[in-house]
Amino acid sequence: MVRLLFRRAVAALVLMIAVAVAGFVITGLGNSDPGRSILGPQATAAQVEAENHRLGLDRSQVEQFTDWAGGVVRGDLGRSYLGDRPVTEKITNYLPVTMSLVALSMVVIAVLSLVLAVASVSGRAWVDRCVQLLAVIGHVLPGYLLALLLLLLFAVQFQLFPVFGYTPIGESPAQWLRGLALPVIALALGSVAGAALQARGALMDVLEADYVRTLRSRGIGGRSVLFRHALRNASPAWLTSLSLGFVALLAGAFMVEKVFALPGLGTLSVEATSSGDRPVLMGVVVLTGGLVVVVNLLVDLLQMWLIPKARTA
Amino acid sequence: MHKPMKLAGLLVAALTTASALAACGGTSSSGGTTDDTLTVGLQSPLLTFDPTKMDCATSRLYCQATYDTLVHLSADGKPEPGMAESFEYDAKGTALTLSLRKGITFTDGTAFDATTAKAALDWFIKNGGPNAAMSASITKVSTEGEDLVITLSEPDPALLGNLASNLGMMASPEALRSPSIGTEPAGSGPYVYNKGRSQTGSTYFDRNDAYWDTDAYPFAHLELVQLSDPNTVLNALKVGQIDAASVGARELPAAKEAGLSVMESAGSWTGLVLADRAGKVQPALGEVEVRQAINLALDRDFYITELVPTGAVATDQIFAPGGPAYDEALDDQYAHDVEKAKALMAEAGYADGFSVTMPDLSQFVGGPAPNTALEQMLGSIDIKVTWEKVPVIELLGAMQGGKFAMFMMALPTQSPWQDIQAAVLPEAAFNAFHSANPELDRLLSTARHAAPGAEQDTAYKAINTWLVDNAWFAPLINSSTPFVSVEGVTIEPQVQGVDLARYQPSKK
Repeated sequence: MVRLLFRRAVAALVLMIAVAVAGFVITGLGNSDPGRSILGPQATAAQVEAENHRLGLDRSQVEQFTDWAGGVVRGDLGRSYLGDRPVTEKITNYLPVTMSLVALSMVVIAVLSLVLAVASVSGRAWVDRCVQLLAVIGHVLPGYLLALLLLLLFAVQFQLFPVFGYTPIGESPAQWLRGLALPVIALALGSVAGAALQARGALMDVLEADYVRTLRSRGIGGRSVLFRHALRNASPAWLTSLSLGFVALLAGAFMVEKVFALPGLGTLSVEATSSGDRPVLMGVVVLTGGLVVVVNLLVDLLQMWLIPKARTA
Repeated sequence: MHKPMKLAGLLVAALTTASALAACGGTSSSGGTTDDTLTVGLQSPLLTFDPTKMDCATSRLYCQATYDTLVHLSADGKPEPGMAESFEYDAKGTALTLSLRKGITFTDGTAFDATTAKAALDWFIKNGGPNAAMSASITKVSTEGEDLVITLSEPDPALLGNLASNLGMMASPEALRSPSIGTEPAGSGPYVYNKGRSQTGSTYFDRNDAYWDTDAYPFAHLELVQLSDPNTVLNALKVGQIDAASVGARELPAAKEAGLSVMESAGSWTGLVLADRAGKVQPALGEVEVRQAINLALDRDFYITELVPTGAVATDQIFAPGGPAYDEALDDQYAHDVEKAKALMAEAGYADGFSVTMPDLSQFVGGPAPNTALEQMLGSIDIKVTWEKVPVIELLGAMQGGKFAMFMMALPTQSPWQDIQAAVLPEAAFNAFHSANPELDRLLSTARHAAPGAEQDTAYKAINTWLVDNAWFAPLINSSTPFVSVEGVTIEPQVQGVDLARYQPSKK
């Protein structure tokens, strides 16, 4: 088990290095000019060149990368080209919004997908049909379109929810929830359907297994079979679906943030991309890459805890 | 319980929760209109409170709320007293003496006087950052008793405007030296930054009751919200979550339909920069008749009707309509006349036209239609255009570096001298071939040394006339920037942009 965890941790580290190198190369390919972004379109070419020199952008890519990576090892993600503020400070300001959005969506997806999956295998045919219909709608309806529809209907037309804005949970939990309600629905709907279908399929497979038939023949009740035995054994597929869903949620959150004008990492990334603010972009790349790695590691651990067989895999 | 009953129960629970959440609303911390709070939607985020690094062109309200300036600008762009009660140039126009207002205190308790003003200006000159050009002509800042004296290397017509912007923004010298100036400002503006109520994307201010002119800023609180998506801006205005914002030309009709008030301020001119006036890359452009012919070939009314949603006027001038340099009569000089244009082409020896390569800007103007329109208009006098795709990162450098003899551009209209600095002076960013002319040099020198006011305005008009006569540019349109406000808030007219003082409660 310890060896397995060590192997996973080493793999995660290698993955993060690969992500950082790829991110640095990709952000270097972009058509951006930080000196121009800082000085504006009316600055002369010589002024822009001098600004880029001040930022160290006339050095080789390798030199820039080693400089940046050295800072990361020391816990310093550098300073934003625009405004000259530390990248960590910027990310700390924007992170809570995205994390609130993703965490709340994950809770909604986990709870709803499990409830729907259990309901659909409990002999309720109409629920099963509803789940399948929801899955089709979730896959067919683009999240961006759903977000716009929700915004126009419930924020602009009925004015039940705000058009934009985020309130920290510490300031007002009700306002926090009110501001995130529509974005979370837009973000979670497609993933709820997908995760519910995964859980439903896995549950149906497990419920048809020999050992379940044996349990039933010994007189153990249907509810006990479902919740104490089948659900645990069907969980790996559902957890995998959730971990994949987390990656999709991060990507989707960037889009939803734009529609609802939420000041999250997506907004920060768009600003940084358009202005060529590479330190901020790389900070977001490292953070999101790290989050995906950590979530996958946690899912592995959870699976090992739930299914002893997974510990020897 | 039957299944349909359970479903109904779930629905009722969901709706109840939604209603409860909705009822919690009213005034959210991000947006939300109350009688004493002005909430304005802005495209630009607040990047820093460091006065040397703030971009007051795009983040004007952040600057003006936090920092007062030595000079203010009136609605028609004229310099007027600010932290300096009066100001006066010497006879040569190279020394500006400012008599400073007494009794002003920065938010950290430091008193404002000539010494602190000199310290702030010296700090700017030393650490001007992206705004360093504003202080380029200053050779010395000194105090004379309670007055401040700024000495220049040569007359600088942009100085007073700059003193109403970053250069004149006064901050406590101690705060300027502090590494936390980016997040903890100490100015003396009409509002005080409220860090506790601000959050990412939303900056909150409370009125500075110690400000010397509180009557000009009647709102008790100010909230500046970053909204980069034009649809969100429009929706937020419609539901009253924000009180005011500038909107795009495409959103303007919907804003008017929704009953919102509109104030249009000068925006930018769009057209051709006929850059190669000496004919280095394209000899034809060295002939004034050819440049005039290009102007005559442009059907500006067609361009507006077919390609511009709203809020634009046809013009052949690069200066803001209604501004000191603008001359309405000049707009008739190049009325669309293909026959006259052809005659001029023939006179210059280009009866068969010529070929020219221009950078393809279709990705910035929403499609290929403007290119097609230009091709047709220039084609009417046998000028064949080839469009060259240039990577975005290289585009401005290529245009400013003299790669293209002529190119399409949209430049903001500011004060006349700022417009001249951007596109007319030999070292200007958009004078790609560093064109110069003895007659123009004389006119520029006259404007530089003229006394601000009527004398200088006359000099600006003379420069404008010369530029139009010699067809240095072929402008198509001048677009205004629409500013929209909800019922209860009025945006008073201003020539260029909208200062914080223009936002006022509507008179009942």
